Amino acid sequence: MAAWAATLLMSCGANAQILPCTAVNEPGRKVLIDEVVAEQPSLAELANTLAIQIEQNLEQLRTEADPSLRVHACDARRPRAPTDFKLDVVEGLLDRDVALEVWARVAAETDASGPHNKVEIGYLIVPVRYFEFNSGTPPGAFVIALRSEPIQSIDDLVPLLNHSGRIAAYAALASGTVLLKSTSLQSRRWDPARTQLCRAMSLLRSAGSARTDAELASYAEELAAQAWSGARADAQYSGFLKTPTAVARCLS
Amino acid sequence: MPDHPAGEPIPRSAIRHVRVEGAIEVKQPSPPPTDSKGKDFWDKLTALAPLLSGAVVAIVGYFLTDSVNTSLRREEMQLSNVTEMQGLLLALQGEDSTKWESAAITLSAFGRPAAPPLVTALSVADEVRSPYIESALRAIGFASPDAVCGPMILMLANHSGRISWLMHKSAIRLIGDLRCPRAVPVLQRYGEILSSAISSGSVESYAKIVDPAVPVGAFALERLNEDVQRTLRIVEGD
Repeated sequence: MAAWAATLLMSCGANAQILPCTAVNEPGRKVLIDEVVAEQPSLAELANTLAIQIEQNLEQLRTEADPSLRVHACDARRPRAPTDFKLDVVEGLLDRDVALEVWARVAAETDASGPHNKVEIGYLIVPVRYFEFNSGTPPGAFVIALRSEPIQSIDDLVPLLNHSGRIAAYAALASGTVLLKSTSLQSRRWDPARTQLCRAMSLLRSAGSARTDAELASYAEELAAQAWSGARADAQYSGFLKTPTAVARCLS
Repeated sequence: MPDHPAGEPIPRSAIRHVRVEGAIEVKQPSPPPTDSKGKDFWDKLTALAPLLSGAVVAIVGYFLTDSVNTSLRREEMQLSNVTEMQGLLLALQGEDSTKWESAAITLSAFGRPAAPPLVTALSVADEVRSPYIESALRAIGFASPDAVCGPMILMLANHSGRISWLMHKSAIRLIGDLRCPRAVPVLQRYGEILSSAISSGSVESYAKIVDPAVPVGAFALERLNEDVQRTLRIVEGD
């Protein structure tokens, strides 16, 4: 929690910018959590709740899916939008073994329907952003926006803010993508890549109906099929994916 | 004159007009033979000496003054560059990320003199500043390839473990972008070390040649090797 106290920022009009994160040079695969920004001081509690929720989601991911994954807080790092993650910055993150980056902000807004709080959670799936930068499909960096009424209790919001399924899916997709493209692993890459990609697809399909998640699920399935065909064409490989029961589609 | 028998005196009454014709030749002894040509040169030289010495002093003075002035102007420019670059380098190292890109671009406008501080900045740059500094060095290199190729080749040839692999990666990219012609042996050697590490399935042998403070993973090593091979193709293709 101490880390989160440091990363939570009540920034009325503070400059949003992407700053370097010293933790990126830590060894091993990692997830970065940027500052959770409250645009108005009155939203500090909501921002704090969001920060705690993200932390819990990542801890859950670490314990359930990948204990080797490290979670690092990036103080003062406040991306403005997915477009901040240009190709060379993303390449720098990929070089440093960053799998995922999460950022968030909460703001009070008013539109035709009246005042409300807007919660934005941004995700950067580093390998997807890097390898699909030019096509832009699926998006490797995106924001999921939620809306809540100002009078809504924070406790009521927690289920909305719980993105554990999504985060697990994004981490699996990042891992599977890197494994599939790790040519030095040769025939050893097909099984773990396929497992991660199929897991990502399954988690994304159950995460919700967001268009981005649907696109990412299709991408994960497409890569999983590539792992299957790659394994079958690999003379050195003699595992499950070469058996007649193995099919291109992921089996749920 | 009337004819008159030769030998007989002519009477004075008969002489009315006497005209004497002849020529007087005064002979003087000729001077002893000397080297008249050499003497002329030295004479001329002696005569021209004041003029020549003045001209020489003027010419030497002109070139000396010009050389000193040029040197002074160069030093003034360097001092001015240092003063102006200092502000930009501070902006590049500062906390306001919105100024980093413009600082790097402006630094590149200084050309060759900006290369050394930018190389130093790149060697310790983070994931956000590195692309800006690389772009600045690339811009300088397009105008003055030697100013960037030389330091980049030196960086890549340094296997002492004091340079990070990320700096090596930047050097490889810049060498490729600038088609540095003398980089082939260094690139080939680097590629051999990488290939050996990749085929052995361990990054250990490669990790020895780079700064241990910036760890390198197996996937990053593969991609680095791809960069080396691509750069070699570019440079050897020229």
